[in-house]
Amino acid sequence: MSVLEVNHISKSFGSKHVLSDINLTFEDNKIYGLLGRNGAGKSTLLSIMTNRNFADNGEVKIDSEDVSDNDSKLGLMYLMSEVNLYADGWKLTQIMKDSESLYGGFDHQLADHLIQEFGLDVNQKFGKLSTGYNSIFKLILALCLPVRFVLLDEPVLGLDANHRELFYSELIQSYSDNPRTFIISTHLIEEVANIISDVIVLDQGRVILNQPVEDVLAKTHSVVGPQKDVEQYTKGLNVIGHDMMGTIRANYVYGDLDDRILPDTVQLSNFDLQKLFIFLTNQYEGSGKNENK
Amino acid sequence: MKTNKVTKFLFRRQVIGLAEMYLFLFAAFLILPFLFSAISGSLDDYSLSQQMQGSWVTAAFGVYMFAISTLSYENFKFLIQNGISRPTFFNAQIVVNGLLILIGNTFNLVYQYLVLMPLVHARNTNIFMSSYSGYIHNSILDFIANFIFSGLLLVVGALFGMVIGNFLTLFSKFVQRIILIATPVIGYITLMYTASRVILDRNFQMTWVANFAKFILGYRATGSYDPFPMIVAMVVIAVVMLLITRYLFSKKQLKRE
Repeated sequence: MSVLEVNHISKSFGSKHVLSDINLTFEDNKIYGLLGRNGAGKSTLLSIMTNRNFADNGEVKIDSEDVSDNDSKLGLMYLMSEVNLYADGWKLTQIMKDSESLYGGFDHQLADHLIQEFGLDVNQKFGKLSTGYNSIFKLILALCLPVRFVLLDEPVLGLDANHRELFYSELIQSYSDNPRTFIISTHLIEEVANIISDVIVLDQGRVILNQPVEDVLAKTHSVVGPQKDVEQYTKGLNVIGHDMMGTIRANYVYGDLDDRILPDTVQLSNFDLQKLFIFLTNQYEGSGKNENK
Repeated sequence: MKTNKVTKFLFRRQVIGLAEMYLFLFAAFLILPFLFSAISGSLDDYSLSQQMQGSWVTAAFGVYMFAISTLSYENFKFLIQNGISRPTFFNAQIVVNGLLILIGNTFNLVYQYLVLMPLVHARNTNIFMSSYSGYIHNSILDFIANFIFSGLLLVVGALFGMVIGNFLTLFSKFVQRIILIATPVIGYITLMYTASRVILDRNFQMTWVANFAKFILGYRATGSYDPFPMIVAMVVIAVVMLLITRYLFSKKQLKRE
């Protein structure tokens, strides 16, 4: 049972605050979705968690022990990101051997299976890989190394739809065979919505949402009907966005509904994670920010 | 535990690089001249012993050690990707450099004593032999002092490379370029200014610099140079640079590229 804690992490680049007092706890055997718009601080956070970069303040701990310059704790994590930390001239087979040696293990059976499924030629040099196969190779390493925390930053970058589908199914299979904690940072929210158990949304360097997906979706309410009835029904609720279709209005509410009576003209349903994300992070004019104007 | 694994990883990579360098040098200095001689029909002018008399074989190792010591960022990237901490990387790199210097220094001295000296019929094929070898009159002790002196020279050179390389990796490529351009310019201006002051200003003779240099070099007005002040100075410099290198390793992080 391992717990990864992020305590009061802050980071600035020059005058720009990228992360402000981030506090998170990643529990064992869960799949977290780390969502945020471009520049929200997701990659910086993952980089600090794996001690690749230093935070200005705060600490990252695994089982109450600081991971900073700590081999035994750093060896429990693997961060797959779009940043290439392997030299272009190195052969894939050699990278796998060296990674196995440094991590102290490697699931060869799974690796062989994935290499075959994805059609990866491991006898080539890292620098010769296309963007898609570059991601595939790093994903294979991420799934086959014996770590407790697998951190995936934009894991499907450059992968075609078939390979993305294959990756998600292999990820679930791998998780099912060997439960461990996954933290997936991605912009493809719809694709991971059914995989992740918990969602964390970063916006402008702050955590604005951190809950189990089930709880989050239970609090999403799409209220659709005639404009007057919808506005009347949602008065006083946390309306984070709206759509207009002629005289029909859809108000998007995030939070618990009270005991108010639903008019016959109004329909109530849940909306999806992507829509919630967009409203929460102010994607377009129907967003929460504009609701307050 | 992890230090051993990292040491093996770094040693394998760097010893392969060393072998590649020697293969390249032997090809460039021995085989290519032979081929050119054969093609041009002047094979009678080609002399293997003459080609081997140059000091390139022994100098190459020092250049290689300095060069690989400046390059640590690629290894850092791979190691931090694989959950290896900065102190472990530092410890392993120091062990690997020590092992390589032991191998290279032994090879250099064996080459000097068994190949170069019989070929050139000279006894001054390196700095120690040309400056300090007359100080010790016992040939075995002289060889040991030569080994220690040459090894320390390589250690100081490698650590100097590590300080430069690791200092530069703390900066972006743009800042690195500025440092690499500005440093020789500032150095040249400082040197010229100092030299002009020494020539023009009688009160600015800096005799202490000359005296200190003589002391460090083990200069004696009569007889042979004393190697021990230089050996002690190199040990002190090595310790200081080792501490600076350790500090610079602790500040390593991934750059935003």
